[in-house]
Amino acid sequence: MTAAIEVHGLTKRYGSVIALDGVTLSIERDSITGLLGRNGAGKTVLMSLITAHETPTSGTVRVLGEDPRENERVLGQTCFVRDNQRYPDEFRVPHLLDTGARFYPSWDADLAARVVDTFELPTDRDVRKLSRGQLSAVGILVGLASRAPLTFFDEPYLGLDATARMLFYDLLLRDYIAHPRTIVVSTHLIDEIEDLLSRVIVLDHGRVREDAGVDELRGRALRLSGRMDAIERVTANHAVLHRTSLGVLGTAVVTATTDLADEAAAAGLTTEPASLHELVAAYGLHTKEVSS
Amino acid sequence: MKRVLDVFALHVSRRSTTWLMPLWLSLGVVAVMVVITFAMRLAGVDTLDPEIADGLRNSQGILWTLIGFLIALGVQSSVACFAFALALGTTRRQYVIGTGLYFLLQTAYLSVLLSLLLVLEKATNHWFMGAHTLDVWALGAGDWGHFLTVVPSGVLASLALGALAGASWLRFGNRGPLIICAAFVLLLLAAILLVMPRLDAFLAWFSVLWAGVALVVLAAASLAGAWSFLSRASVRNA
Repeated sequence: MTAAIEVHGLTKRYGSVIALDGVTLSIERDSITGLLGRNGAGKTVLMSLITAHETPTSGTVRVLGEDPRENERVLGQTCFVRDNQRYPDEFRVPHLLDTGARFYPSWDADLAARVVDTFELPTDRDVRKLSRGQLSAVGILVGLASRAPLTFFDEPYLGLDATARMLFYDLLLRDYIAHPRTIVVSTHLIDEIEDLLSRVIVLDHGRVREDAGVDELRGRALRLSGRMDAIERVTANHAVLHRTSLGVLGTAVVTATTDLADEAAAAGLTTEPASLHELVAAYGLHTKEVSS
Repeated sequence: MKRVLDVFALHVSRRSTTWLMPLWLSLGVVAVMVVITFAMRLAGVDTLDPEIADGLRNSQGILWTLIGFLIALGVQSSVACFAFALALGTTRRQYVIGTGLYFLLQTAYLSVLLSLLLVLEKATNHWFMGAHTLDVWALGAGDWGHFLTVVPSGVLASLALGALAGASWLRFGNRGPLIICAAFVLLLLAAILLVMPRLDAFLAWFSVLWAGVALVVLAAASLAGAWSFLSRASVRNA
């Protein structure tokens, strides 16, 4: 597969704050990639740099093989809906439908109408006066119906109820299967979306902590549960990412090694692959422990 | 070019701001002048008297009302649609050119609108009571050459100045417009210091054409400044 996005040594500073620190990664064409990490990890900044909404302090970005900055050919193929996306005054949903159709030759009016219907978006109120969940639905409408070859969703689920989120995932998957394209989604709701993702990038304090396929990442750690003393004994020589205990019982998320499962079984512990959510959350905690 | 026209259409789709606001504001100023003139007539002033009419031509209501609105519209145009246009994959250059085209449309629209109002004002002997809104000294006192020089160049310069202030805010935050205002005041003071010692010569040389040229140059410089700021502005500030 060829890379749609290639980033090398990308750094972004805001004064003394380092938002991204030497990030190097590539995102394959026609894939759905999850951008994970804690708040402030650099997810939105990375997408902003890729779409030339920001200028890097150093490093290079290549989108479809070219520098995206002021590049009509490249940027014309992108759609980046921010979590706090601003819309022009006076704009209502019908204005968005007209504007989307005007900006994107690939705009799917039927899909747009279906999204409006599915999320019950009001068409007679200013977009700026919509609720948080409705604004997220508007972002989903624009991102999905644009069918832009490179689509970026920045936490698209904010304020959406569980049903609406399921509807979004369903729409996204169905449309992606029918019209494969490169989609990047930043999210905290890892459990909900992990089945849609082909690849995951975990950012932590502006650096890439993981950049791997979902299946590969799922095997990266094991969750051991059972007696706490047995857990302590078995994990003594392993990298423990997260540990919880309740009385004599407990669980630990531990970086998987070839011997770990056998040692845990011999000690009477239950072993399961750690979920992606557990792994990413543990990375965040682990970094905090290390840094404090 | 298509994206430039898309940005232009994005601005125009704000129909109330584009078409209705200038119309209501202009009609509003006319209405206010009519009420004021009517009140003067009630007080026994003959507002149709040529001497009084000359005094009434000092009114600058339409000027400052529209300048205020147009600067605000310029700010709004450079800021309000910026984030959305870039979200849809527009380059900053395309955005600035599309916004510039929108300013030209506004300039043409307001020039036609104000010209029609001036025609009406003159045809009705100033709204049947000597109410001067557009037939005023600042706009040439009914002289079409003066009027059609000052109105389009003034509208364009006001919009472009607003765009410059808005773009400076996107680029530098609150400091941006403050610096622009300070620079503008300094420029005015320098011009006054330069002109005052040779005021007579300046007035002899000056014509309304030069005012038009100066306003067009100001508009071009402001748009170039706006482009410079927007080319480095962060979308997250929009």
